[in-house]
Amino acid sequence: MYGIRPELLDEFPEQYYCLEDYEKVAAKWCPGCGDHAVLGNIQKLCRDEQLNPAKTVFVSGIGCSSRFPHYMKTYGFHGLHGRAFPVASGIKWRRPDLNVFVITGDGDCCSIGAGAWIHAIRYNIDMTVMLFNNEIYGLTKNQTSPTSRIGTVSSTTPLGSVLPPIHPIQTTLGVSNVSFVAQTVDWNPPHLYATLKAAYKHKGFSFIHILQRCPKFQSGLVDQYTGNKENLYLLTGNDGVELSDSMKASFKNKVEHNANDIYAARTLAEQPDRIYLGVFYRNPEARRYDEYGASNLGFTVDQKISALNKELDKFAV
Amino acid sequence: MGKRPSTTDPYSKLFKKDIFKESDALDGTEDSNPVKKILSILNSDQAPEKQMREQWSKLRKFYISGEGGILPDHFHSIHINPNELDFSSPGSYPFLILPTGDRGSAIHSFGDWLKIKLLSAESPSPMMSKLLPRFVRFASDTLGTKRSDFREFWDLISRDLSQELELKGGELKEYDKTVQDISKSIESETRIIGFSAFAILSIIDEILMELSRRRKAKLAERIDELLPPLLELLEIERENDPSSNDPGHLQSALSFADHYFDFNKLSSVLPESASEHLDDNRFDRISEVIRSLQSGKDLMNHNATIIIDEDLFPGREWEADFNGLDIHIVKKGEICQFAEEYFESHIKLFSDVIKALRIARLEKSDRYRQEIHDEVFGAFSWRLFTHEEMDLAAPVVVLADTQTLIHDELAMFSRILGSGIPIKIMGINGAGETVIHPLTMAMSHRDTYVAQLNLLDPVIFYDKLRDGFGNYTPAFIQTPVEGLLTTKQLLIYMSALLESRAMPVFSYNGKKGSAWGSRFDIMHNPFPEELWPVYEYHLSGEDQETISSAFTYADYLSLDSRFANDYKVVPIDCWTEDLLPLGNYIITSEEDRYGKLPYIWLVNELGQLHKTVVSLRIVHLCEDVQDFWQYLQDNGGVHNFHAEEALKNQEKTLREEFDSRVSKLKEEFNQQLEKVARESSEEAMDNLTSALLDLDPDTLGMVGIVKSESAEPKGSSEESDLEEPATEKETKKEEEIVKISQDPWIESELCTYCNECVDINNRMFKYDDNKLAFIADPNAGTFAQLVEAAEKCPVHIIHPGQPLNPDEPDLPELIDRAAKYN
Repeated sequence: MYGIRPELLDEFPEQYYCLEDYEKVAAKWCPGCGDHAVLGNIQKLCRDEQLNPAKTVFVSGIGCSSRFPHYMKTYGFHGLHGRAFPVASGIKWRRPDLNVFVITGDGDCCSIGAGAWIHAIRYNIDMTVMLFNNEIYGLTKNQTSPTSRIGTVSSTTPLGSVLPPIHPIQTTLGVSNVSFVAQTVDWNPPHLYATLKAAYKHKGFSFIHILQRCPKFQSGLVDQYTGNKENLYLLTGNDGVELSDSMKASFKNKVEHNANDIYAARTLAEQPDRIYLGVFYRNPEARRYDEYGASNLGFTVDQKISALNKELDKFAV
Repeated sequence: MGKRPSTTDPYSKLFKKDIFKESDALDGTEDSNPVKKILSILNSDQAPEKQMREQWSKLRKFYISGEGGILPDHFHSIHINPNELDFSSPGSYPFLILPTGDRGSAIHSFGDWLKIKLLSAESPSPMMSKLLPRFVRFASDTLGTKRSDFREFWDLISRDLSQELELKGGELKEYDKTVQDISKSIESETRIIGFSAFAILSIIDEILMELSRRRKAKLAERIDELLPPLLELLEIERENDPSSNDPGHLQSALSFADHYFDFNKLSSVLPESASEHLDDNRFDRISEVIRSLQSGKDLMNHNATIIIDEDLFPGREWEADFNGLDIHIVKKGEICQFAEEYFESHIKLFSDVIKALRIARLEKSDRYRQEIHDEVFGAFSWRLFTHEEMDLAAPVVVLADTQTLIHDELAMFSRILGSGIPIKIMGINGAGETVIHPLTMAMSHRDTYVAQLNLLDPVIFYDKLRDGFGNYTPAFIQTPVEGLLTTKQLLIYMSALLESRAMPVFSYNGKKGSAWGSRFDIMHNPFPEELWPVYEYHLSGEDQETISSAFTYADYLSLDSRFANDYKVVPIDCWTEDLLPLGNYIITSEEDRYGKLPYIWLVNELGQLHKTVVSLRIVHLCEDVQDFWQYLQDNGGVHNFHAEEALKNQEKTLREEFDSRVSKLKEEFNQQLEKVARESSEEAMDNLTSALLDLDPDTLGMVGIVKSESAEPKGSSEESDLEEPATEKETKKEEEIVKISQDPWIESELCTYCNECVDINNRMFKYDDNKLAFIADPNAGTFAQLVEAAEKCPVHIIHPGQPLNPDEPDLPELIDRAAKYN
């Protein structure tokens, strides 16, 4: 009876998925990397929500974090750089029955994929999006990313970067039809888990900005983040993030925030030196584009092949 | 259906004898005059209560048993008041049948037609427009009940009217010009028909002749297409005859220069034939086909057959009206039998021609295969006709009294409808005969065309009848006509039948779509969406009062002398709330009817209104009529049961959805309200606190000082005694903590699963089921590894404790490093 929670014993499901059912190979990220925390918590989320691995798909672009699908024993799509959103949108558009997760990094999302990002927010297709922001290009060994703060010394900016960084929360909240925006950190697993869960439960484009450590190239930041609890602010209110009381008590700073109020959310997003944890904004009423896509589904394989052939025949010379 | 009046004597009972007498022809003594009696009750000095009780008990008795009921002379239904009638024919009469139209011919009322002509004239004449009603009236009066060629008739009435108007000068010129223009624009073969029972025969004749014209044209076209090629084929064959090679024939064929040829020699050198001969079978077959096709041309003289019940239109003067129709007059009881036999023998002629047409088509393209087609055409009959071919055959129409059909000939009648033989049966209902079951029975055969029509609107009558006759299925069309009534009586009778739903106009086309509802058309009834038509009447007097009243079947039955004892006029003293209008009474449930009596409004010759109770028998008849009408409505898409149920359900769902949304919104509102209240009170408290703090920053310090000061004296005196045991306890506790903290441990809850520790030693550090690191075995590794892990752990949750192995090298340094994480 491995992995079965006591409360599930009453209603024994046909197949119970354990953590092992979502684990593929050992993750090849550097030790100490924040990606591990997200992977572990996503696997826990899948187990706790009993997501059928055959009905779950992880889509990523390019980057350290985008290796993520390789470590999940579900379907995955390790795609083109910056193009995780279009692929995931296409999947959800034609397969509304699948659970779609998107893994993207600060380079993948905020640089090369920024165009797709903006439109994916606006499309508001039901998927859970995790932006792993370690403020550096790690996979290509230490280049400045669009989210690197001013003064970041890297191989592309050896004298320190000069431009102010993009704040993904601020950007997301500025796009029309935005539906779910949250922020968490990888070094607080209970909050990370609770935020992932809230995002998964939300129907629509659930965007989670995960502040994340790179012990290799941003080791300076790690201690600044993890050692200093003064600039962490826990958002409390109707955000759907369920934390235990002891976890809540461990936060020194708490801010009451109404997650339905986009102006309040934007005000918080305008304070980049404070790290607010929790849901900035949530609007379940936002229009969902995938609801318009889920029509004339259910073609058989033969029908699909013949339709494809018909289209391809148009190019016959 | 047994409840309905039926009789074998067709022209008896309808209309009480006085209905169209002049109103001054009152007769009867003072005492027996019901009008005066009613008035006398009104003026009597008797106690109203007693009178009322007696009257009511009489009325109740009458209602149950019909005892004591009498419909007084000169009393008529409010809706059927002959004194109010000042016209002799319905608005659409006289009407024109024009030979050109969308479907072959068009039908218009004379008034409409003339109006359009006058309006569309090149130079519209205002004088003529003013004369329009006069024209219509004059035409109607002149034509009477007749049918006439319209151009002749137009010339006649325009001449007569001009004389009557005594027009002169410019006016006469204008009149003549317009009249002549119109006369020129009238197409030949246009007819005008007046309102009478015989209009039905005129319309039947016109429809059949028009169908015949089109049928003949089609048949001729088909024969002309196929006959010449076959004749040509035989001609070639004749040329190929061996005898054509004989010297004499050759000589005659070459009439000039014959002295140059020796025809005997020529004959011997010529080949026997230029081409192959037709085989004998084919030759015979083609000759036979040609004979059939040529006889088919004779069939074109045949228009249509009409089989008439001998008793139906006594006096045969109408026969002359049927020009070119084949008329058979048959005895009662043999009509359907005769029709079926006649049809079978008559259709045989057509089936020979159709068969010949089909063979000719095959032969023409040389596709006739003896081994297949001989068999097919050997058993050819009209049942194999296509719809188009069925249109080529002349129709057979039966006109019979409905009573005959359903009494003496029911079996044969039903057989024709059920067997698909396309005979068109018209059931004529004489006065006072309203029957439903032949209609429902005919519809139960499903494939049939069934209609009930009314002459009042000739346009609908013509269209629907034509649909029935042109259809290739059996048809049953029922229509009320009574030849023995005067024009005015006929008008009242037909209107009452239509208005009271006694004989509603509808059509059912079994071949029209698979959806049952789409086959019905009931839209040509008055107020088709209502149960009964309801009309409003103005009462005389200063109050401008109106009453509205439903035209029920009871109003119609008041015309019928057989029901004269089923009406009882209510004395005015008894007009209480217990009298319900019949229209309302019928839709009232049995329980709610208790104590109530149904009434209709009657009007006497002075125009005074009287509530009149009808008997239970009439109520039953009304319910029956209403039931059939609701059946038609339901099928015709009005008040359809299922549609209305679906609508109700939809409404219910929407209502529930709405309610739940409203309650949700209310809840949200209340929550918001609470929250705002809470927030503002908290804010107020915060403000208050901060205000207090801001105002008096020293007070807080003062309190602390005061406290410590007050505590000090006590403490100082007993310090030495009390402090000693307390410190002992504390040190004991501290020791325990130190001991515990000597073991290494991890705050697993905060583990980020980053693999730092397990990479150092995966036996000492392990992950639990939730991917959280814990120290599985502190002895599985060195203290140095523990310290390294503690240093590397990005979230600093590893506490190395004290070294477990005192022999480990460099311990002092490691303990120093570990101290930071313990």
